[in-house]
Amino acid sequence: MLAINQVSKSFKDNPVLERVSLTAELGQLLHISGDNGSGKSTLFKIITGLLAADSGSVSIGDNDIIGALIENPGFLEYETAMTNLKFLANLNKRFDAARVTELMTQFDLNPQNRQSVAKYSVGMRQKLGIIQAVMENQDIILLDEPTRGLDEESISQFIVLLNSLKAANKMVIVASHDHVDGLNYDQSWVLKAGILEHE
Amino acid sequence: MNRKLGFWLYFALTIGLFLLVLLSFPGISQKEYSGLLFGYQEKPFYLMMFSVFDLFFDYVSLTIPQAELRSIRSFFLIRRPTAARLYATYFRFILPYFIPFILTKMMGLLIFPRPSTWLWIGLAIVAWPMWLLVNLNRKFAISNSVILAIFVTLRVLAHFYY
Repeated sequence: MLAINQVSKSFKDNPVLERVSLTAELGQLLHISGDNGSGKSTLFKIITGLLAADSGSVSIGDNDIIGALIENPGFLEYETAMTNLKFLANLNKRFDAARVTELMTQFDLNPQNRQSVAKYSVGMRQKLGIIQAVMENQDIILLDEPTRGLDEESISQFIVLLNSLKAANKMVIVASHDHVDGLNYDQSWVLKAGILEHE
Repeated sequence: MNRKLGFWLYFALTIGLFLLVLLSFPGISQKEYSGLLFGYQEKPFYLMMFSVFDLFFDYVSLTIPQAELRSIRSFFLIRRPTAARLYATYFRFILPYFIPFILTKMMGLLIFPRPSTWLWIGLAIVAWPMWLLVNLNRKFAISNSVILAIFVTLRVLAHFYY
């Protein structure tokens, strides 16, 4: 469960979010659209705790774990993709080698590749960002512009992944400035000038 | 090349150049020789260059792991690990950089085992992780030029008070 209640946030007197409220349940797929700078990333940062809201509250279920891809993902640039994923998952001792291998293969990334992440293309980094957001069996998954840099085949894989997450009773919130065909959202919202409205 | 491997090659080169000092300047005092690892020598030219080389080694030993950990920091915070797990993870990651840094300083102890050497090694052991952790816990990173200035300042102090 995710409940966002009357969240507001300003940067130097410039309001980015104004009394944003939203409630969602596990098993739901949500879409938040909005132009660049409309506050999508800020909202995700507040949900994940990376930023503090000026007012309002965010609550999740007691045992819910959040996974997120927000803006340009940063990695251990001089390590391999597998090392990065293992490093992150082991932070809370949740590394599942079989799951990570499956996800990497699904996204056409070679788990045995010794190439450092620094040499990855934008699309490859994006895939890695998506994988790290779901590899630990996270319950609430926030994906900010997840299809940026992905080719058509990867977008198809992304759609398959999201549908499987929904079937596994995960909540997925996708924030993007455009729509991805093939996804059936349970809730669609638009964020305009800091105000969240039903689409 | 893997950056960690590159750093260890730099470490090996630093040790090699340091040993060369003894071959090139057999008359150098133990204090001056050991002091190269903490402070600096202005002349002759080779010693000055080694001082700069070793200063830069100290600098990269801190800035490489710091930059790496900062780049992945938001993924860390999203996972909300306990402080113990977070610092244990940091510790495991920084060891390959911290160990060579400390090993170079420990060489000073082999050459000049005096209280002043212990003092400067102690300072290095405390200051290096402290700066790393301070910087990792900040919202905005301290500029690398500030970190370099700190290392230079420590070297200047060691030059006069070692």
